[in-house]
Parts: sequence; structure tokens; C-alpha cells
Amino acid sequence: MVSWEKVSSRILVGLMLIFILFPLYWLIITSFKTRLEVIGGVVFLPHKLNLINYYRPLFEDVYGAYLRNSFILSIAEVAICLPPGILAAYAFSRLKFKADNHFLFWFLTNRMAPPAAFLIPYWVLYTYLNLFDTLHGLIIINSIGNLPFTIWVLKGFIDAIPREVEEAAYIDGYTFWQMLRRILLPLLKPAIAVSALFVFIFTWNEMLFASLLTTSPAAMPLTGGLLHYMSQIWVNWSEIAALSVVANIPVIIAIYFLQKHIATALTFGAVR
Amino acid sequence: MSGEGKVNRRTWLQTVAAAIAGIAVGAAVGWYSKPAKVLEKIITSTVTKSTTVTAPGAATTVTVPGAATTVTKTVTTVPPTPAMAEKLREWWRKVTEPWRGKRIKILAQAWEPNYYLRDVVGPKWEKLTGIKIDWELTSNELVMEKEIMDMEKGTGIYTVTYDDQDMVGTWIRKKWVIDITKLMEERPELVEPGFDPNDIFCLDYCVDPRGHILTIPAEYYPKTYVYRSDLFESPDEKKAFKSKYGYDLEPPRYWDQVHDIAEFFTRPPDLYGWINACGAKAHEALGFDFFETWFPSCGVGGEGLSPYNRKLLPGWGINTETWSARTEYGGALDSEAAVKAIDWFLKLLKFAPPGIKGWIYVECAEQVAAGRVTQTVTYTQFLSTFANPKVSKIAGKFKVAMPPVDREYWTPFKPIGYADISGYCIPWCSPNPELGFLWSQFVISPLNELDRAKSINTTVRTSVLMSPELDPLNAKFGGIFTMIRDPIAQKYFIGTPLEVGDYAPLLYVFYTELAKAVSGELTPKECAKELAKEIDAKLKELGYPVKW
Amino acid sequence: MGRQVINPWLLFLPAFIIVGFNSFIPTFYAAYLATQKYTLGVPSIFIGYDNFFHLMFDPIFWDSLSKGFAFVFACLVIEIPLGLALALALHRDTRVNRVIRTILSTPLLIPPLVVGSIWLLMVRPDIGPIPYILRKLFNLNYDIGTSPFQAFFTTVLMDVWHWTPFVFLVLVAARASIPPEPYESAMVDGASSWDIFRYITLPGMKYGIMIAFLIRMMDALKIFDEVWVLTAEGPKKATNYLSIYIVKTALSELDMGYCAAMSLFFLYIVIIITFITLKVMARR
Repeated sequence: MVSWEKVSSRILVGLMLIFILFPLYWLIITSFKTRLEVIGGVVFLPHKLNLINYYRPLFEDVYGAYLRNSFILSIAEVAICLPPGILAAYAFSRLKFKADNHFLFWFLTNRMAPPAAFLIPYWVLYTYLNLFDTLHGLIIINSIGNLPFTIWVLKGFIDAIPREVEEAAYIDGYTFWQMLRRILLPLLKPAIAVSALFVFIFTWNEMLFASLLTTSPAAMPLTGGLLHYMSQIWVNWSEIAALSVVANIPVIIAIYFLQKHIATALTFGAVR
Repeated sequence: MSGEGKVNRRTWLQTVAAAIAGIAVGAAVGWYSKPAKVLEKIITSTVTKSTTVTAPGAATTVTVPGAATTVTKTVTTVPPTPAMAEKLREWWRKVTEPWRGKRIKILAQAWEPNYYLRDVVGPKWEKLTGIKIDWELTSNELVMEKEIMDMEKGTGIYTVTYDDQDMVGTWIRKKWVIDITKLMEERPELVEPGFDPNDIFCLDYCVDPRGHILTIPAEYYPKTYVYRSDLFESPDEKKAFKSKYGYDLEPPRYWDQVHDIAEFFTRPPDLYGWINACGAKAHEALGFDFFETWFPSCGVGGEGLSPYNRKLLPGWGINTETWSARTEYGGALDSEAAVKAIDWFLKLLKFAPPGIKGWIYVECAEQVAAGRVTQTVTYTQFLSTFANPKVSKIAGKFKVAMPPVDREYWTPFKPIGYADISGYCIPWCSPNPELGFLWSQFVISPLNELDRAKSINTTVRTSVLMSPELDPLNAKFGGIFTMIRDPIAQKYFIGTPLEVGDYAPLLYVFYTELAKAVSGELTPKECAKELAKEIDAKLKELGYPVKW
Repeated sequence: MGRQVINPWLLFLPAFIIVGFNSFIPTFYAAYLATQKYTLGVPSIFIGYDNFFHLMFDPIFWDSLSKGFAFVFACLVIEIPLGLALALALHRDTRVNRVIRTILSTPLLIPPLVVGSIWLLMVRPDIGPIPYILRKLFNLNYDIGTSPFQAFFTTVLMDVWHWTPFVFLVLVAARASIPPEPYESAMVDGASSWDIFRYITLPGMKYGIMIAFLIRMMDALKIFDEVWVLTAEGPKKATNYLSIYIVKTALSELDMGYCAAMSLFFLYIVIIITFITLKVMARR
């Protein structure tokens, strides 16, 4: 006997799959259409697969450089966020110091602050410090959200590790740094991998700072470049679709690895 | 979750208190840095910067001002003979010698003309001079925002910036760009032998009141009426139109004719009768469209086809004596003509393809290229795209004509429309003003100008415009060259009035108010009234010497 | 642990310096700007708290704030029940369910900007499939440029597409944390499936729902990229959410002082919601 609930839940899941996948399908086929096909009307199946939309922007225009910048930026962001993040997370999780809860809250507010709020101050600050239009400037600014994120997520993971493990190490005469390297980091490996991937993706996705604080192919990442492309006078939608597909690739790969941890990470460790 | 992450009420209160203290500190800092000081800083830094610009090497060569111009007249042959071209190239190699290996950074709008400069002229320059170019091509609004930020703070990011002539009024008011005439007098050795200000026909809108050049124009695109010649010339359509409306189907002179034609050709979903240049989205473009096309062609603003000494700014309807846009103080933005302009805009919008209210120029030009509309008043920048069969269905099937006007309110000697004159200006804080000057000359150098005109249908030099070499292209681009070769027609397309000094904030008022008429919140009459009122308030806020 | 093995400040400082550099200077500068009448390009004048007074009486500001909350409300009303239903349908840890869960979570990490461009292509009246299908099937005009409601609804739909997977994954985790014993005893007692849902599942998932609710609320309030690309302020300012209004003030009106004042206000709203969220999280 098939129960009513089972049928309705199957239908729901089916509809949801269509709802989720159709826009992605549309994006992908748009990326294969010619310019005239796109503006000509609604076509559900392209006549042929047109790869020029991928080739031209990436290899004949500056978007290849933007893609490279995105990779450099995201990887560097992971490198700059993880070490201080691990240390601070340990401090918040295990040690007591003055006003620690205040600082923890303060970190989170930085993560939550609407980035639109500080555009102008950042512009002024960055031009004065000569950080404008540089990759390292963008790396620093992205850490305002990513470092608090790392701290909160890693703190949750460290909280879950029994303290006895560390205490045993200290009894064996380990210094703090030895303990960190030989005991804690190996235990935290999966947690670090997860937060690294998330930091990578958040940086990859960031648009507002990227589009305003960088300008040249030497520093601008793909999201910023894409926004600039969209605000141009004459737009080739199929190339925008192609670049969007390119921007999605690392993210969709990451989803495959991260699916189990998304809930934990995006709720700052509240749900696990 | 362990207990350590919790935040109690005291923590919360302390955080808020800290934040309030932060604001107080900020306020105190604000109090101490007096506005006068800031102004002084900007002025002094301008002065010091511009003197250092001219210092190196200026005194060594003694040349009579104006000598450079006399020299140029003899060589302005376009295209240059091979020998002359070689001589010019030699000149370029020599003059850029001191900067070899340097880089210049150009901020520009992402238009087809700039792609051409990036892809064709830029590499040529790099090969000739060994100076690399970093391009930053972005949207209109961002260009404005970024260059103002750069110039106000004096950061000196951009060697040279490219934008619409709209900003020249701002440069006059703020003195933020380098006076090119002065630079030419002080450094005559930097003036290309082929550079001739007298040969640039649209220079009038790029100078300050003394006639000094602030921007070297690089493109001239009037906003013209563009129509589907295949439809207009089809005998069947002609007959049907004549029997329905009683007059011949031809490019219209008046907006009511445009209305008839739009009605006649609206055959959804494949063909629509009308689209405007900038769509009707609540976006800056809506403001452009009004003071570029609708207000001037409906006679808002005073007479006068020369850029200066106008009491009432055409298109903008602002009285420059009282600095008011209201009729009771001599302005014209709430006049009947303005109401009529808004009315025409809304009436014709009904014949545009659905979706128009979410679009700006990008999508509107797409509609024309997709062959979905019969007639439009649009930027001629798009003509080279329309003429390219790879991306357009109307290649060879369109023509241009003078824009229509309102039968009642427009009178002769009032401007009809807008010419998009854009060019290069050198920020006062430019790291290499000389290079900026050289690049802006190179763009319109005889070496490049004719080729440029051929591929992107624009030129700023009379000698090139008149060149018979452009004749074969005339038909391809719908007759655009014939039209602007006529000196009188040329005069009827004006740039943004040079008295408009704070383009961006005023533009914001224009489009936010007009968007209310588009969405139906206000009737055209109410909208015009509110627009005039808001413009007045903004002018006062921006510190204009208002007399009302 | 009774002793401090290492000075906690030493561990804490690197992170503090990096985030502090990014946080303090801009915050103070924004506070400074908020006290100025400063249109970009016009020398600034000290005006004290006038910008905040202006904010108090600016109908557009309150309108955009209430539109923002309406947006948040609409998103949550759709996303939470939908996510809950999906979580209950797919919570069993079978192979098929795992695959479906991965497919359903695809939109979650897509760059917001790209989400905006996807939906722009989907809903354009001339080339988008959604208006096309609606026109063919129901003869319905779908035009986000004309209809304020449709513009608003499209942004909600976009958010539902983007973020329902998040709610769903959080709730799957919450469902998994309920022990099986109550269900077994309920089965023995012959309870109806509604009673099981009402008295076992829902109370067990209360915490997860709460967390999903609050975090979605914070993120939805801050929405910018997608809407900026899709409609910006929209017809009759229907999608003029606070971030959009702030950026428009900065980029179009060039009124930096007022922009800073609104930014600070916005920041406080977000801080308050963050604080409530932490309270809830800590209660567990």
C-alpha cells in the first residue's frame, strides 16, 4: 500500500527538483546560444553547442585574468584566515581572558555587518594606504567576514573535543605549541578543511568590494568583472551566462564535498 | 553549543555603549576638521600640483603660443600621405622617449568606441611608444563615481579619464581637470603636428568660458531618429498607411506623426511601433533620456544654439540667473512644454515592447537589433552594432533622420536633441598629465582618425567627416554622415549645457521624480511640478546662488 | 583547566588586529561622515545630528526598511514550511536521498551575483521562459518592470530558490538529532502521523527551526547583489530594500553623509538581531 504521505512527499521532491534545476539548465543553454538567438526570443533547445562564448571572454578578453585573480584571491584568503582563526578559536574555546565574550560577539557583528555600509570609508582608507586596486588589499578586506566565520566555526569544533586529550599531552610535558601541532591540529583536520572550503567560496562569491575596490585585470576577480560586464552599454548575454557557468564550477564541486557540513558551518556551529 | 558562547545583557549594553562612544568620537573629529580647511586643502593642492606639472623642461624651449596651431594647419591632410604618416610616427617615437616603459591607466566607459580604442588604437600606441596601457572599462555611473572620488581626494589613480561631455560643467565649477590650452602653451613640444583644435567641430562643448580646452573630444554621436527603412519603403505599408491616416508614410517631423506610425506598426508579439533610447526603468538612464531628447524636442528651455550665455538651459529648464527650475522664478521644468514632453513619453510607451519598464539602453538597443521595433530615437553609437549582420537582424534595413519635435512648443533656434560628445580629460592629480595629453591626441591623430571613423562611425574632425572615403559607409550606417555633415543639423544637436555643474546629484533627482510618472504614481502635470520643486531644493542644497 | 598554558592574548591578537583594522577605522570614519553634510565633490560641512533627524523623517528610508522586513517575512513564510516538508521527506539516510539532497543544495553556494543574472535571464519579458510559459498557458502578463507586486514576488522567488536548501539542510540535521525511541513508542501506541508530527517531530526540531529562522532573517535583510542585478529599486520602489537604498544614495545621489547615517542605523538593526540569535543559541 502506498500511503498518502509518501506520494505527496515524492511529488513535492519532484517539483522541487524541477524548480531548482530549471534555472541552472536555462543558464547553461543560454551560454551555448549565439547573441542573436538570445535576443531573438525564447528557445528551449539551442540549435548547436556554441563554445565561442566560453572561449572569447576567457582567452581573448580580460576575463581569463579575472578568473586567475579569483583563484589567487580565494586561496590567499584561506591562507590568511586559517592560522589566526585557529589560534583565536582555541583562545575563545579553552582559555579565559578579560572580556572574551565581548570580543566573540564583536567578531560576529563584523561578520554580520552589511558590507554596503562601509563602501565609502573603505574607498578612502584604501586609496590613502595604496591598497586600492591590489589583490592584497582585497585579501585584507575579505577577512572582515571570513576570519570571524573561521573563529566561530572552529570554536564549535574545538568545544566538541574533550579537554582530557590536551591535559594528557601537557602531563607528558608538551608545550602549548607542541600540543597544538601534534594533538589538536590532527584532530581538527576535517574541521579545518571544511572552514577552508567555506572561506574559499565566500571569497569567491564576494562582489561588492571586488567591484568597487579593484579596477584592473591585475586585481579584479571574476564576480567584479561580471558585474562590470553586466553594466556595460552593449551586453552579450550568452557570454555572461558562460562566465556565470565558469564562476559556478568550483562552487558546485565544493557542494559535493560540503553537503554534510553546510548546516553546521552556516549556522556558526549551532546545528550539527 | 557550550555555555561559553553566550552573551548576557551586560555584554550587550556594553557593546552598545561602546558603539555610541564611537559615534561621539567620530562627531568630535568632524567638529574639529572645519569645512573651510578642506576647501583650502583642495585648492592649494590643485595649485601645487599644476605647477609641478609644468616645471620640468618647460622653460628650456621658448615658443610663441599659437605657433603650434599654425604648424598643424599645414599637415592636416586626412589620410596622411605615407611620408607624412612616417614623419608623424617618428614624432611620436621621439616625444614619448622620456616615458618609455611607463604605464598609463585609463578609466573609460564600456562603449563600442572604447573597445575599438582598447583593441586597435591601444596596441598601435604601445608598439609605437613602448608605453603600456591599463584599461578600466566600466559603466557610466561607476566612471563618474570613481573619477570624482579620485579627483576630490587627489589620489591620482588615473592618468586620464574618459567620459561624457556632461561632466565638463562640473570640471568648470570645480577646476579638477588640467587646462589643456594652458598645457599646450607651456609645453608646445608635446603638441602633435597633426593636432588642430580648429579642425575639431564639437570642441565648443568641451571648453570653459574663456575658451580653454578641458576635454579633448574623441567621439561625437548625435542621438537621432532611427527607422526601419524596409518597412517605411514597402509599397503595401505605404498604401495602407496613407489610406488610414491621410498623409504619406515617411520619417516624421512631429511627435504626433511618430504616434500615428507607432500605432500603425504595433503588431505584437513580433513587431512594435516604438521604443525610446533608454527604456523606462527607475535608473539614471531615464534622466538622460528626458533632458537629452524629450525636454529639448518639446521646447523646454530657451533658444540658442551656442553653448554659452543662455539664460534658460535647454533640456534642463533651469534659469541660470535665479537658479530655479520653477516657472514663477523663470525656470521651465514645470512649464506646459515639460508636461507635454512627459505626456508624449508616456503615450508612446504604450507602443513599446512589453518589459520596457524594466529596461535601460542595453535592452532597448537589443530590441532594435532583434528587429522587434519600427522606429526609435537612439544613440548612434549603436549603429555599427545594428549594421553588423552577425549580431543584428536589421543590417542594411535601417536609416537615420533628424529627431521629431513637438508641433506646438518647439520653435526654430531651439535645440532638438543631444550629441553625445565624449572625450579625454586629465585629472589634476594625474600621475602623468603629459602622457594623458599625448594619449588623447593620439586617439584623434591623423594616423588613426579615418580608420576609426570607418569602423565605429564617429569622428570629431571636420577634415575626416568631409572625406569622400566615408561615402561608401554612409549607406551602411543609415546615412549618418550625410546628416552630421550639414553644419546646421550639427548645431541642433547640443551637448549638456556647460552651466550644469553637479551633473550626478541633479540626475538623481531627475530620474527618481520621472520614475514616479512612469509608474503612474503622479500625473505628468504633478510630476513636472514636483520635479521642478525638487531640482530647486537640490540646487540650493548644492550651494548654487539661488535667488528665490 | 586550572592553569593558563599560554597567554590567551597572544593567540587572540593576530585575528583581532586583522579584523580590527578592517572594522574600527571604517566604523569611525562612517561615524565621522554621518555628522557631515557631504555630497561627493562638494566640500563637507559639519551638521551634527541632522543626518539622523533626516533619517527619522525620511519616508523613503522607512518605506525601504519596511519593504525589507516584508521581504524577509515573505521569504521565511515560504522557505521554512517548504524546507521543513522537504527535510521530513528526505531525512532518511538512504543512498537516493543523499543524492537528491546534494542536487537540491546546488544553488546554495552559487555567487549571489550569478543568482541575480540567472533570474534576470529567466524573467525578462521578451527572452525569459517564465513570462513565455505564463503567457502561453494562462495568458498572464509577467513583467517585473511594470508590476510592483511581480517585482517583489520575483525577488522572493529568487531568494526561495537560493536559500530553501539552507533551511532544508539545517532541518535535516535537526531531524537527525531526534532520538528514535519516542517514535517507536508512539507507533506502539498507534498514534496518528499528524500527532507524531505535532507532538514529537515539531518540538524536537524547534531549536533548528529557530536557528534557521534567525539566520535567514539576518541574511535576507542584507540582500543586495541579486536584487541589484535583477531590479535595483524596481517599479514604485517595490524592491528598494535598505542595502539598495544605501548604495543608491552613495552611488547615484552621492550623498555620503546621509549614506553613512543610514549605514550605522542598519548596522545597529543587524547587531540587535545577531544578539537575539546568540541568546537563542546559548539557551540550548
